Amino acid sequence: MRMPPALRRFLRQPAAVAGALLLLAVIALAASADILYPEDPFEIVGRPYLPPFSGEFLLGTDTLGRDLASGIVHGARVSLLIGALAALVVTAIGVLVGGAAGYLGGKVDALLMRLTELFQTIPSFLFAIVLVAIMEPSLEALLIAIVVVSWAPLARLVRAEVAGLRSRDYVQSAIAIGMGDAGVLVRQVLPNALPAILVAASVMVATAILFESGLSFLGLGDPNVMSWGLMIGAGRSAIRTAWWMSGIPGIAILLTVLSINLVGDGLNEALNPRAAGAA
Amino acid sequence: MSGTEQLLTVRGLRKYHRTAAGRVHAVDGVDLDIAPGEVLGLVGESGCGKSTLGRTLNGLDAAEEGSIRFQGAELVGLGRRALRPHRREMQMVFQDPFGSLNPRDSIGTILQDPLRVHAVGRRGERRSMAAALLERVGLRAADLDRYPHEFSGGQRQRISIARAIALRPRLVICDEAVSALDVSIQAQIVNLLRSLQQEFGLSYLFISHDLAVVGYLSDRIAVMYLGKIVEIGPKASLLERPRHPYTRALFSALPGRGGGRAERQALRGEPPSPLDPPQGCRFHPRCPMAVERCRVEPPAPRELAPGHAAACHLAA
Repeated sequence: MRMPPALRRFLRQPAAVAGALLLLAVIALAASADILYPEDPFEIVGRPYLPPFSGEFLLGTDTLGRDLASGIVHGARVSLLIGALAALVVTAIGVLVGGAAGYLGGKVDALLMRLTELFQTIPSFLFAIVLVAIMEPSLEALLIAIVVVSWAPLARLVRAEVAGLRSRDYVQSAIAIGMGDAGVLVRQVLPNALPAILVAASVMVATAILFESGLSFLGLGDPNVMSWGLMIGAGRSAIRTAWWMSGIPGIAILLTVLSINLVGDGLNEALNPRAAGAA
Repeated sequence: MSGTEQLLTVRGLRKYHRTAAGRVHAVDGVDLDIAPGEVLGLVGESGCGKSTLGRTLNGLDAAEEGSIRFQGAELVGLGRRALRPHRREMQMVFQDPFGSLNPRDSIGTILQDPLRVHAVGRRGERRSMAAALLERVGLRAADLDRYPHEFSGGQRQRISIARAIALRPRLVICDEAVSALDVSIQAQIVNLLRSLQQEFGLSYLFISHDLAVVGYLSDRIAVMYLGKIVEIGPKASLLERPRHPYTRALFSALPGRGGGRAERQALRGEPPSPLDPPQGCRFHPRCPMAVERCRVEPPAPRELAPGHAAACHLAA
């Protein structure tokens, strides 16, 4: 059986493999949340302020007596969901805008790039806070805010890739053959831009998770959904006496974002080998 | 030179590149003809505009001015869609054998692309057509499932050539098609091009800075300098008696040609910037025989022997 060379290059990196395993563990945890902790994570189930390893409460309880472990597991769902959806939408917009700008060039390019610059000049976290404050706090609002503040850098990246690839001889020869714009873009240009896009999208997952946590910490998240940021925010007032209430969700964010970044770096190494060319 | 018998007739073709520093006249008023089955060699120093000329003829760059008549049809001003039927008849081979094949496509896909785009053959037939093409250029049908990185530079150039002839074009523009290859491989590719030309009655515009290769393959040779064709004529006439001082200087740089040291004329200096071409004859700052007239009046091409013209006031 032959392994694709990119996969082989990925598996050769211990950090990337560790990141992938960690990420898989988080995904497994999120997927089995309803089996592990079928009850609502907002339910008050025990005495408040229980430290980790207190009987049935593996990670302790918070100021109201809610099970932290249940919160972590259910929060993983929210984080991964927001991260994945945001990355997907941002990538779609980025490919559309950046692809059009880079491939068509000229006035379209100038117009779209001025638009991305407009979005890039606004400090993104502040912008996200404003957007969420305007909308009803909900997961959709978070998602929209994250997408609006994050699409521009990806569009620029795709534009640079596409513009660079457009001048390659194989793209030129596809045009010379008579292939239409859509065919050239979809069959010749984008497949070769895919590695860079994939790497950027994976980093976008991590960024979106941080955004969600940050906004939820400030109380701008969906109040009906247990998330890591919300847990940190709730435990903040007791941080001197019960560090675990905000410390444990913090560690969860750290490990998840770290794992995604490790995977992203590994993908970058595997898909864009700088000393490339030869097999 | 009425153009009725010609496959390709180019008149007054101009193409500018817009750069931050201003307009570069890459192709600045070019006239040329290519007859069916003829090989026209196009030589000149790098940067003289010969690649841009090839790209403009093929429609990859849009001409600013002038006329390109191909098989009786005017190509200048046509959009992508209107150009498509003509593209079938005019193909291109690029210089870089490592850049001209999509690294993510198999050879089979690459060779079937032109057939697919122009709806030649049924789905099942195209693969066997691609296999036949591959065998014609000296590779094996089994190579269809391999990828570009598995081939050497010479093999890749064979694949590029197979792609270019897939649609049985009338004209193939070879832009430095052998320049990136080792000398021994060059000879093989040049021989392949020649045998394909004879088999299919192809015309080539063979763009190269390598006079030896051009001299071997061409029926006629055009010499380009700073966006203009300064001399054009039948190979024998041009090689035997180059009229333009630039052509003479170019040829005397060839080993084994131009006799002894005394006759060798070294070109002085670099070619002037095409951003700001010299007044009068563009070659005059480097010309060993320039006179006052050359500084003010641009020379028009004059026919000095049958079919052999040079743009020089002093050439005879």
